[in-house]
Amino acid sequence: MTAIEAGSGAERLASRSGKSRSSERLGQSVSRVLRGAWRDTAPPLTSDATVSLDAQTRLAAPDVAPLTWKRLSGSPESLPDSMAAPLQAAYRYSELQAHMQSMAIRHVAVCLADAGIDALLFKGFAMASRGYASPGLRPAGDIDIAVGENDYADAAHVLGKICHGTPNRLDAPGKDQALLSLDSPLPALLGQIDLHRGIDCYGSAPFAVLVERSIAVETDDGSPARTLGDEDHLRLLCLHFLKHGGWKPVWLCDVAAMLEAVRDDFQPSLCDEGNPITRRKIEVVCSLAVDILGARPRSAAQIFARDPAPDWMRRSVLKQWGRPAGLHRSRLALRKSITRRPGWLLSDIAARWPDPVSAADWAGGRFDGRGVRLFQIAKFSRMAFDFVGRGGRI
Amino acid sequence: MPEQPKPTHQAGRPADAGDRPIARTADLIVRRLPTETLIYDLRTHRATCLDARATAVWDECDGTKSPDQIKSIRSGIETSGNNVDGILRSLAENGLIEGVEPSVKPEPETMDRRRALASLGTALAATASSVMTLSVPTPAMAASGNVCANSGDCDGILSVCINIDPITMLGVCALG
Repeated sequence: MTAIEAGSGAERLASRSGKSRSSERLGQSVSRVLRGAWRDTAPPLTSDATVSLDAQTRLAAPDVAPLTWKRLSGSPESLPDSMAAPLQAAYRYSELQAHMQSMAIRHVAVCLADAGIDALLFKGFAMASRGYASPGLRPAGDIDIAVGENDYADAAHVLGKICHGTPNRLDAPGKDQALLSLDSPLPALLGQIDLHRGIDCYGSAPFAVLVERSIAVETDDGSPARTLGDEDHLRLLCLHFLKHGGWKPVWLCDVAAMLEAVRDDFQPSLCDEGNPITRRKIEVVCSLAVDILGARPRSAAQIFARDPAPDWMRRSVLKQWGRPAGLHRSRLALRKSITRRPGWLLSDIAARWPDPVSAADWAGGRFDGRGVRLFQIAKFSRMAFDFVGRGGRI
Repeated sequence: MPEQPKPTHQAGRPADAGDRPIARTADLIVRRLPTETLIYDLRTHRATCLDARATAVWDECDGTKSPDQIKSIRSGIETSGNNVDGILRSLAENGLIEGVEPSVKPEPETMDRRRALASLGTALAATASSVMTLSVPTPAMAASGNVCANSGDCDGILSVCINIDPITMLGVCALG
């Protein structure tokens, strides 16, 4: 290696390290603005909480723009003029969308109930109406609905009658998730229905037990829709956050909001189902919600946030939040890269490199910070193996 | 979705003098917020934002009060730079009341999602109007969004790549 090459390598390393620190700083800016933004009365921003241009871009992302508006509109001195209009637009749009989703959910719930199908709403609107001061503060995107294993085909059939899309393929063997669009004048604002065959990947409780522990969705139109009980929902939110490396700030806002909204009869033991690994996973995410977003868990849930979150996890999540959202989404295009734009392959592979949080989660909840690089390599190898095994299909 | 009620009247029809404005309720989805009211018109796929003054006037349009009576009830509005007549006219122009002749008949707007979103926030801030009309993307607009393979291909910070086709790996830019 020549001296020039060595110097270039050192510069690249320094540059990479600088980018990493920059991402973390941006993530910190994002977290400062989002702290407590889900509450009725968000805490005032400190006078030194200036929002950099890069942080503004992150905060204008669809998932957090309404929360950003809520927090910054209460501190006009912190709200750059260039941000005010688009943030307010996103908030209004989200409020309308939430209102329409509420109507759609009522309709879907009635149809499924009439067919004798137990359905549970989770994430999205279920959380927006549960822990946030106003549903519009939490843009819901798709409407996530789970039904039992044995009801999936029937549910697909029922929804196929009121939706357009590919209802005939919904009950294909092995298919456990389907996206449908309601036949309505509103789908542009409505999002899609994401029908799940159970939610086993986020816990071991049988679906019938989840239904037994479910609670009514809080809507203003007397909807018969039900959502997961607080214990099951908190577990799902935490495991979902870890699975995806926590790159969307709103996922941690969901956990924070749930910690503050749990009912008086909340039973922590139902969350972990007696599984110590699940318990540890819930604990680290709840601790992150407290550390990063200033969550104030109700007494019944404080048991999950007694210890501070591991520092490496906190920094990793903040770095994720400081990166452009496009980086996280670009993983969708790998097959296209291989076949159509080989020049982009390396960057797309880099975009797929597992983040430390999801790698530690994948390794069975090893959050002590040791061996994280090894977990990342192992997870990537497994992903590559699976990718090849599927014949290059995502 | 539940079947929407059929229109019972024609918004914006010419009115006789002395008409008592009636707030339209058919085919509207109304979301009331503490400081403003958001209304989505299922006929035109347009959203309207009423500020507190316009909301107050709209609420008085129950078919029993003349514009003069509304003025006297909401006299405070007259001094705020946006009089009741102007608000009633704007409401009529946007098809939200009947019984007051609009000065301009509203035309359906065509606007992509990004511009619609931008206008949603800026229009009210940029004008002194109490009634702000904006376009919201229709299903057709949403379906005809940019083709994308990832968010970087989408043309706005508020849009992301969705509905990825498993074969072509191409999706459509839409609100994330």
